[in-house]
Amino acid sequence: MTEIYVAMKDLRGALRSRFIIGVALFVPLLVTALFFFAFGGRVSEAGKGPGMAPVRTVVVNEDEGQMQFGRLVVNTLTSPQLRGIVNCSEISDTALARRALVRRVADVAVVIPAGFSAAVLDSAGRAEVVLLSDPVKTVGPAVVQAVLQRLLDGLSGSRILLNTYRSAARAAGTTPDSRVIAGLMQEYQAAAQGGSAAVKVRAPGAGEDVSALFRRMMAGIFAGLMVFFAFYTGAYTALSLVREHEDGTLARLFTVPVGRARILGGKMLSVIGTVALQAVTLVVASTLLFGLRWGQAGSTALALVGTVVASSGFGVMLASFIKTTRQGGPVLGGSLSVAGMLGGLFTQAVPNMPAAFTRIALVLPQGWVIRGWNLAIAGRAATDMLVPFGVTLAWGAVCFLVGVLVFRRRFV
Amino acid sequence: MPDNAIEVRDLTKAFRDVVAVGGISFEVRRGEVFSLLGPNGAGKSTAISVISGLLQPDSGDASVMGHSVTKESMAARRCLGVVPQEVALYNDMSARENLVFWGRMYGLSGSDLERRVDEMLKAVGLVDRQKGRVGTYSGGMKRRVNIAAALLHTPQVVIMDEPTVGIDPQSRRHILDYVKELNRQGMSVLYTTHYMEEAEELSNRIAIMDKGKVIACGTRDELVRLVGEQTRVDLAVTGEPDKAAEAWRAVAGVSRATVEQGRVAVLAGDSNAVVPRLFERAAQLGFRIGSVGIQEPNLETVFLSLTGRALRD
Repeated sequence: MTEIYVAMKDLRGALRSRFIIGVALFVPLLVTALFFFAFGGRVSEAGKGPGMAPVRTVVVNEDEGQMQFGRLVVNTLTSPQLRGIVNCSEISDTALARRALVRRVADVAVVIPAGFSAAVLDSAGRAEVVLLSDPVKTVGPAVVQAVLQRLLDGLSGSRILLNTYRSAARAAGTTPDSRVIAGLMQEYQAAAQGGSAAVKVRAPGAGEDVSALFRRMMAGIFAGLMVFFAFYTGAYTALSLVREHEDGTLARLFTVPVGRARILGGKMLSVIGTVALQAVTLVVASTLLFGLRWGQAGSTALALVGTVVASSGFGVMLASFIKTTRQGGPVLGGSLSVAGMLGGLFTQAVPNMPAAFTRIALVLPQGWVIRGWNLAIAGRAATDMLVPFGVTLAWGAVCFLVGVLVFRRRFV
Repeated sequence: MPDNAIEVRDLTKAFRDVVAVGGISFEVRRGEVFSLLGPNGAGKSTAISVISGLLQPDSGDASVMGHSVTKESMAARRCLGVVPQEVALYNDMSARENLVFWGRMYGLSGSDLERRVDEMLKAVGLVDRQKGRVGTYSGGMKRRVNIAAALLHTPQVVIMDEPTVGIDPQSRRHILDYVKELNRQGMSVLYTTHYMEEAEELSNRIAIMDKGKVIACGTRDELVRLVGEQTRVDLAVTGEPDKAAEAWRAVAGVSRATVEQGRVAVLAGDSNAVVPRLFERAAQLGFRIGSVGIQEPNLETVFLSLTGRALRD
């Protein structure tokens, strides 16, 4: 039980330390929140992408005639598929549309002029839709313009179809039948509205939407931060042995009727406990706060255990070489930052990193830990993680052994 | 049950080329307060570090209640409470939390632990402040908790390493009274200090240490008798005190004359006869005596007599 008492005492000290709480929990969550909102806000609402607010659009349809291509444009802009991206309402005239822009109740106004359908059908005519926008806005008008452009491209296709039919009729010595033309245009309109062919944006993984891709990307960034700070917490907590040595409490502990190895064991246990508490808290908090996806439960558990073992072991080893707590800050900060960078903790979400960088990362425990997390986040099964998990455990065990031997030599 | 609470035999401990403790021997009898008196660097703390199990001796041995500290370390430590020289507590924990932790380290648990913590808080007068973090306490309050932590398991022997260094007179008085109270309760105490008055007030017996050796050991009266009935005369002189000391060494009845902090300390068998001679000789040589102090024989005199230096050097 002595080991537990020593560990509990240290754990309580860690939980009371503003520095530990700041470094272990607050900073990773804060940095992730900054990334998160910088990249587009909350994504935890199912089915929504990390985008912006819908573009407020008004449309004026002055078109007339039998074919009603103007109505096709209105229907497209107000279609359910665009809800959430374009929020469109139809109004009666252009003056009202301009007023809506001036009063900033609309970002974009679309005016379909009279004779629009006739221009579409006329092989020599030019069918145009007028787009009015607030000059301050850039993204919203571009979105509406892209939607209209796609529609107008389709109408150009229908004109080619009509011209082809007319040429064929002339070549056959017949007069183009207006009923056939109307039938062709109706078929086209139905096809355009039904969306028989369309582009849908998907993430590389099967069946994922954009928000899921975003959540995975954020999980990757967060994992890098979490691993970096887990290593820092491990080393800083292990440094408590040096701190106790300076404060005289370690010497006092060595006068109680308990073996020194057991006291050291308790100190090591506190390092593992603190890092484990930190890692679990961060995973749970990031899941609840940001909706991050960490992969299958088994894979996440392996990545967590790997993080705890490697960062505790590495921290104990690093702290064992530090003589005074004054050395501790610069030595821990410097060495863990360098190891974190080389281990790819800050760049693992960056695509197409040079192969050499990836190889260097695998020389360090940080590289293997983050590799495990990447596999978990990618949705890989626990069995796929056995190699990085095993390497991580081995790293942790070796570092831990070295650290304990050095500490024993110093204090036992 | 052994007669001696602590026995030290031919204990030697060196740090590289520096011999901190060179073959010392003494014993602390059961139920007595025994002081190790000596200036800083005399080897007191090294000696008690070995006895409390912190350091391994290079040679010799020590035992606590009959248990060798080298061969039966755990048994020896169970009988021992150690009050370190520096306050060794966790500043981010309250007094109560500290005592609970240290009690557990000594194997206490459950209601026994709670009872002993309550008793110790009461004994050191910190019941009202028990929930405050130790880091917010005054130096004296920290010292009291420091002592309480060593006594939770009701040890048969307690070692106190200069427990009154750097604290206010009120806290010092409290600690000295508490040591006497512990002794009244039958606890054996090994007390180290470089304050002669504390050693005189508390101790049944005293060992004087200097440069890693025990140079004298016995009761206060036995130690004083070692140097005879010598009186210490302190003189402040104008001019060069070294030359004055040299001149006064030749005066009849003077057994020793040394310079300490700019003053001349003279040991003399009969101060009434010697002091006029000192003035006479000073006048012959052109020295002027600014002030004179006469001190009856005490441990300070003993140390000066045995080492040629003052205890506070």
